[in-house]
Amino acid sequence: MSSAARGAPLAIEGLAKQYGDVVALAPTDLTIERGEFFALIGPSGSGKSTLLGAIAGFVPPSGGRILIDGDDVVAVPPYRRNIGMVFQNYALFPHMSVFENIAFPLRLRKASEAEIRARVERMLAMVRLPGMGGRRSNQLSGGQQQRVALARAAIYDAGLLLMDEPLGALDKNLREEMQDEIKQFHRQIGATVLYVTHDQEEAARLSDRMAILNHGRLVQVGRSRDLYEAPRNAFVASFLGEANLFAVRHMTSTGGGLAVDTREGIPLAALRGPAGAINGAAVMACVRPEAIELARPGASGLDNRVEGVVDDVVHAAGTVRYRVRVGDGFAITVRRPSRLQAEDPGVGERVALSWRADDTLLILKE
Amino acid sequence: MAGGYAWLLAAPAAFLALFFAWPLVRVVWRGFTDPVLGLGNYARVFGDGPYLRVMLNTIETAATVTALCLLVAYPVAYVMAKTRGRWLQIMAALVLIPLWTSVVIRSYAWMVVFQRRGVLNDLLLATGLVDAPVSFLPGALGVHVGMVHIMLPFMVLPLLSSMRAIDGTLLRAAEVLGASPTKVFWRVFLPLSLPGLNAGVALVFMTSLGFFVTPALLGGPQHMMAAVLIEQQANTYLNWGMASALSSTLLVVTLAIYVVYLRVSGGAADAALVR
Repeated sequence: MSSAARGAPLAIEGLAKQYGDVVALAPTDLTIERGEFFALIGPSGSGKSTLLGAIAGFVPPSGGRILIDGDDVVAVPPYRRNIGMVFQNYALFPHMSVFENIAFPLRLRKASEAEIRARVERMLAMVRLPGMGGRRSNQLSGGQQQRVALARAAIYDAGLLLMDEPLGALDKNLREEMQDEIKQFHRQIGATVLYVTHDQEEAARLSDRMAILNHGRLVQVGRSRDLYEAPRNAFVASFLGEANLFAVRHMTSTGGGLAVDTREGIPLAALRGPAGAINGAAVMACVRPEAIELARPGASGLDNRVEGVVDDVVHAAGTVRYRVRVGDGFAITVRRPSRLQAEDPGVGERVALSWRADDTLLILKE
Repeated sequence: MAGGYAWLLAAPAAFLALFFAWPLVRVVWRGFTDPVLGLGNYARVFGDGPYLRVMLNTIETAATVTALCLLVAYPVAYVMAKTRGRWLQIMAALVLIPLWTSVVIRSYAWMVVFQRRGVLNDLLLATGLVDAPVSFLPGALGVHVGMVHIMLPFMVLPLLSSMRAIDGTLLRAAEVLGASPTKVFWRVFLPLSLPGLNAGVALVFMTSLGFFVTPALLGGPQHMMAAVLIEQQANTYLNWGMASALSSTLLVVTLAIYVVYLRVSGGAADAALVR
């Protein structure tokens, strides 16, 4: 089993899928590097499953090309694409033992009995299930079943592994444990991985890069940090973490930056406008909750200042989340690290919020 | 069964004891005692003569009917399992509606088809395939066709319920893992449909062993089955001892085959798992 650089690069060119008048996937281009761990995220119905299904071969695309290691596979049936796949409900064969489940792809490829035995044993050790080959899949826990599914998908050295919400059925603690395992597994086998999830945190933990889909369109591609710090539009900003969004009325450039007039009636200072020269109406301002400082009223603050009344305080695992009502009916969310001090403002108290001009992100509305 | 509710079974248990268990005991008893105490009746059943031949013919016919039913029902159930909505309802109706018609009427209908001046012979003569009417009745062909027709729903329905329970993701998983559609069928779909197949085979085979109306109407003396023979012994010859011995033999044969079948089908499932 060679592990070095055997991942296959994947290129999607103009791939589209329509069901009658319904666009499940608008023409999409995407390039995934050899050996990369790439996540596809988006809400349900965003087209991520359609895209994955087209790559696996279950969904015949309406147009476009899918290049695996340079070869267009659109006309190739799923069983000849040599892709590994892990499903959300594991999809282990209930009429076969764990050993036979993992051996299944090798038997189809007519490997010798001795080779099958050796490779399956090695794979069982790799997914930390040594000696479990004789079990039935329904005698295993959810995490163990998913490890068997991983082993089965990887045993025939496919260059591309597809994972369709593989941890969706597990509870939170087990999911985090399995995320670490999947990451380590990926390092060991070196295959290119395309990982579908609706959980942006999971995507951030696992992937080198990710793509966000919405309404059948690829909205943005990049590293988790890039997407968080420079979201392309309001959808990306609010899908990845929390965002305070302001509707921009117009922007005027000042000496060192931009003065932004918002519909919420709060004037903002920003450093850079959105990419491309766009008029104010198509722009929104995004301020991340953790970029905002909280102080007593009247205290001197950063470039952006606004006062309000604390509406709600939630302490949760190391962070405090405040909802601060500013003006009529508009609330700003602030997140601060939780510290052992009694001076935190409580509900009903008046506070001053402030943040730096470069934390006011100007992004596209759509 | 929880102890508190056991009394609910009292009435059905009494009913079964009175109208099923007791007559059964009487039948078995009579086989050894009528007309005289001893194994005389059984010596005749297993001795030279028509009785053993009828028994073997019964088993052979039941096996043939079961095999033919499976051959016809499996593709039907397969297509039904892959169909949704209106077409499924239409197909389900086509399978179920024959069940509403009595077995006697359906057997007579087959007589109309197979008789000397029947539909089939008219067709054969009209197309010039034969010069003179073929004698189908009485005979094995009529019995097989009639019984398969009557037993078909009992094979289709368990197969269908088993096939519909198969998770489609498993089939897609097999395909991505490298199985061509043919291999997906043999290695995943067929094994997963085995519970329904086993149930259908058991149901059809057991029922066929005791079939009366169809072989009585279409079979004749050359193709007699056990139930017809038993009826003849009891009603025509008033030989209740012989009828009882034949009934007991049929019962034991049925149970024995059922036990063997359970072993074999259960064993096959285990073997697939260990491999």
